[in-house]
Amino acid sequence: MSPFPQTAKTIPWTELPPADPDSPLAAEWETYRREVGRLLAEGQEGKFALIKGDEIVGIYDTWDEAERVGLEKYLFEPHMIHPVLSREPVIRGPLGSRWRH
Amino acid sequence: MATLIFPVQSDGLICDVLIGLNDKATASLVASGQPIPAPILCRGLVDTGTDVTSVAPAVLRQLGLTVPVAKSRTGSTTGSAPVALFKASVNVLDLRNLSGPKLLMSDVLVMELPNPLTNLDVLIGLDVLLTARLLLDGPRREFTLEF
Repeated sequence: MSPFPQTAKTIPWTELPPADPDSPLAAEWETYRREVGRLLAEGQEGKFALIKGDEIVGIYDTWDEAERVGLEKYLFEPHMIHPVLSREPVIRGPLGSRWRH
Repeated sequence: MATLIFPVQSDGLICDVLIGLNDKATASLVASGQPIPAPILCRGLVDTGTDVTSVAPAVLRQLGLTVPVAKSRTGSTTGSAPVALFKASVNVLDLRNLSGPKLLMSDVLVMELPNPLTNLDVLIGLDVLLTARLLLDGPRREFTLEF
């Protein structure tokens, strides 16, 4: 089972915005944005990409498998796990709520 | 069935929470001979308007979680913004009764709070709440988590 949020609101992969260059995992996010169309075309939807910098290290059937490999290879060094999705979830969260400063 | 009962406070449905590393990261640190940071005691707010449990950046940093494992977006009617997701353990408990029940999730994808909150460290979101029964007794000014 994927721990990645599943939400009612989603956006298509074609509308994924670029990362703030200074944000954590900016390089990994840009790699995912660049490759997601190809991965979807290859039938990888629902699988999990392990990404380090500008490289897709591997595609795994489960989050746990990708996480295990990521921890073994990188532990707390930057790396990103992301499900290959045609529609990206948008989390209902604190943004724009009464908590926003 | 285990039960946690908390009073409703002036700033909402407040509960005690321990935030720690998730089980896999802990095992990896043990395997590599590195020290395990102790879980951080936090003040949490039950927030049914949040899909994903959210944790203050300072708490994540104390655990050594400086790099997220995933990214996503949070949104509302006013727009959306990127958020960082970290793996952690979430343990809701009652400090007044340490030997009592604990709602423990040892491996949760939590969101870094995009904005600091006054006097709060954690928003307990639906990802945790949907594993329990949440009962709000307004007249008695208390709420219950059954799990």
